[in-house]
Amino acid sequence: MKVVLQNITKIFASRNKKVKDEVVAVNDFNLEIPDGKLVCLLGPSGCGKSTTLYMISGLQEPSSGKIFFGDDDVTKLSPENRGIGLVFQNYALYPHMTVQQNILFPLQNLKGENKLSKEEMLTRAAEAAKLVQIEEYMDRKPSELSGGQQQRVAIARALVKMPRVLLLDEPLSNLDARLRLQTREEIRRIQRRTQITTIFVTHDQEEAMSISDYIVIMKLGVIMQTGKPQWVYDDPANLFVAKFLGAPPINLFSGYVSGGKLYVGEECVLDVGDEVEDQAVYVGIRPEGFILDKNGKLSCTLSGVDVMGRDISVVSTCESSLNPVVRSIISADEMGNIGGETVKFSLKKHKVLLFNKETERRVYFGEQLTAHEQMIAEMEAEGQGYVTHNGPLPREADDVDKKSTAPAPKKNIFGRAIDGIKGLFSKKKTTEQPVENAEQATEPELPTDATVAEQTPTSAPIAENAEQTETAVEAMAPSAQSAANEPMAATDAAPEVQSAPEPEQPEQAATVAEGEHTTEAQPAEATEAEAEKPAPAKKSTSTTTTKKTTAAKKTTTTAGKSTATKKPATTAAKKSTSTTAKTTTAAKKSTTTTTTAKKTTTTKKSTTTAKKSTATTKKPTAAKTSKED
Amino acid sequence: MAKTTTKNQWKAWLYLLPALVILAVFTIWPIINTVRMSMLKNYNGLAVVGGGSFEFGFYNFKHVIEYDGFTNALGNTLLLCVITVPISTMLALLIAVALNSIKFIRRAMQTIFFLPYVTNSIAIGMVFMAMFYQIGGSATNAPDSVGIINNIIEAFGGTAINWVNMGSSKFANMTVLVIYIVWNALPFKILVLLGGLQGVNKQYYDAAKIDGTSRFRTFWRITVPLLSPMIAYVVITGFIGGFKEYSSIVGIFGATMGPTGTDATNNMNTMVGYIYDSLKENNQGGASAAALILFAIIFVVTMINMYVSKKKVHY
Repeated sequence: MKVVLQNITKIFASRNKKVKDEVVAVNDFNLEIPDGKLVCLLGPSGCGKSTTLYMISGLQEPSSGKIFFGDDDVTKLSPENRGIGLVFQNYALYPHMTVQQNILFPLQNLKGENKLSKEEMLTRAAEAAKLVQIEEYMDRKPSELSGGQQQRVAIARALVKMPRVLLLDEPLSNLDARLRLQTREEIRRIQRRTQITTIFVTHDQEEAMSISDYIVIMKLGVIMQTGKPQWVYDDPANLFVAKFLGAPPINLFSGYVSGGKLYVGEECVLDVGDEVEDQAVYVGIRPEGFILDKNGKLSCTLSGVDVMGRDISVVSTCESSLNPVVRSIISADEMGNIGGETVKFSLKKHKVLLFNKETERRVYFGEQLTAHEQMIAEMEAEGQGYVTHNGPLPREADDVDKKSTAPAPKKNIFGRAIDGIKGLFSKKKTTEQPVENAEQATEPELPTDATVAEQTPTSAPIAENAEQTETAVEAMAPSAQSAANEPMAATDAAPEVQSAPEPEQPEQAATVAEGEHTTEAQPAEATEAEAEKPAPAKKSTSTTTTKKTTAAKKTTTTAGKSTATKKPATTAAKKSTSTTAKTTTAAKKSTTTTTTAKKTTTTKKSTTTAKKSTATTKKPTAAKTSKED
Repeated sequence: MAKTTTKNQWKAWLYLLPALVILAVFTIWPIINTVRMSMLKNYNGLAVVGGGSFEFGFYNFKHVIEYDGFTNALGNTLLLCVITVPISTMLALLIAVALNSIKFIRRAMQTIFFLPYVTNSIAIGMVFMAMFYQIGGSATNAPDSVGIINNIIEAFGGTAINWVNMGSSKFANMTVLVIYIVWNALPFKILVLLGGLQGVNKQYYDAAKIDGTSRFRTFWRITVPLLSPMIAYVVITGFIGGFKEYSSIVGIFGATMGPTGTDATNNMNTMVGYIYDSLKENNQGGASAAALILFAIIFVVTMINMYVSKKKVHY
């Protein structure tokens, strides 16, 4: 049974009716799951994958959009009529029933013509039990079973009524490492045997990669990329996907492309070809992409070697690295070649992934583009459309917004009363509030621009130009330049800038508090510049800059022209809906934010290091599992 | 090693001493004394009535069991327990499930249902008496003095019933009493069951929903079994409370424990009521014997409850 999700959106209303902070759990989700395949929804916690699953199951109703099973529209159908089997994260086995009663339970509910005789029920239950290999435990209670056995009982209960679609909600998260390996093989085997379309939710990328036919990577309710696990690993469409997949995680460096050469730090590490525009990039290198080479251009300070048997993992540090350590996996035979305090690497071209610093989108170079096109062609041949997220990449700074929009928590009764009275008198002020929020939101992104400006020699003159023009343009200058470097994206963006505001959901546009969301959601390619970093202020300017990309290019050389281009920019800003009005004011305020920029850089760094530490802690378990393999 | 343990034990006993003393004086000694008194003939708590020496034996038990007033009280008590406990438990379960499924005014409803629990039972009993009251031979003669229940019955075209007044039937008395006791027992049971319900994992219901389980089946196959520990608790405490029923009868019927003019056999007296009566008549021996019989009954019933729940209750 093919499952099709069409423009599915799920919005959870806020609990507090007075505060309008709805949570968009799933945002305009389009996916086609082919018949008989096992598909993983993969993403960090809170990305809406379970919500998507529950909407497919019917336990939750989408706020908008449609769900099809085959050709049937099941959007309004209640769960029991959809013909699905759902395995819950903690199994939800009825504790007071034996295994057999648990498996029989769904069958006993059947009514009318579907009603089964007792013998039929027992044989069907026995079949299901046999499939998951729990026949000998039929008379036990769930509490007398191990986690893995309970898991299998749950699958048997879901399978016994022969569902059209089997849904699994993080089914392995309650199992220990060994059992998890075993059970996921089991799930794979059962799925292959039954050929039931299966949708599997997990946050464990390894789990997803190992068992699924296709994986769907989600972030903040938006699909980031779909495809066969190996494809997605080899050919991530954006930085998020690259970072999310892979254990050990991908090594990130800050670098730039200039004249067809890729620089990390001051060293030219790779020849990427002339077709790649000059731009600041994140350089992602898979751990297996390093080659020990005395003449290698990438030099790192050795901090240790982890022996893993077949391979060794060289741990080193590098100035340009965005991770605390660079982890490279090389063959154990090369052990002898590591000597001294510095290690030098040359790079495998196909393991080096470039991402534009502003958009965080992949920058293809050399053979990568053909490989990418080939992959898309293969996917289409298999009847699986290539899906990536084309809008602006969702950002993680949502919590920052919430903090600023939500009322101060728990004031005493007098405080609240005073607030209420204040509120009565300052209704007007509320409209201004988002601007302040926007301003706060802009902070985190500014530092990166600053660093870009410092690092990329080409962008330096622009910054100067910008200073002469308006402050808003100043903030934008680097991104403007990058947009200029990426003419394709810019041209794509131009029409979208105009059209974007209209399809906006009315409720979002309506609420002032949502102001930032709107700007974030509307936006065209150019706004991706802000991707993770929220900044309506920038956005407005970025959209304008993309509009006049050609002009922007020229600004790199002459300051005088940049002032000239300023005019069309502001007019364009006026054109785009009411939100832009806000954003322009926000832009003005950006001068003040530059002062706070430094602060935020430090905080940003600390968060990245925090992320890394979790990544490293993950590693031992990953190593273990690989050993077990 | 041995020395330290004995020392520790000594300390432990020292710390326990205050509690043990209080227990011994106010619980253990009274129990022993009750047993002793029940064995003494004509004992008034201080001395044998009319002088003479103590006479041990089962005289009191024999006397109590043969006495009509006692057998009547025993019958009333058992009847009340058997009727009220299942009714109140069922009602409480339904109300708890209903309360659990609404979100809108749950807190307000919870408060309303909990009110009887915090109100004095004698006061409520008197209110009940007023509600069921009727003066004069028949309601038609003096409609003004008829209680609200009879008014309602008449408003719907029925004839007024003599619920609690002189000449009322035992059936009518029992009905009033059952309604009162059930109503009074509800809040506590609702509270316990609602607490239990809120602890039930919602995923069981999601799972049932996906399997297309009907509401009725979900209730019987999932809710009730998962609530069974709470239900068992409520039933056991309900029986124990039922056997100790006393103040409700005083509230409704007054200290006579029944409609005026009724004899001992047509009286709504209960076991506890009988024990109080015996004490009032300085029949300490009889009271003790009746108390021990009550204790034995409660003990046996609780044992049965425990046995049944062991088989049926899923913990």
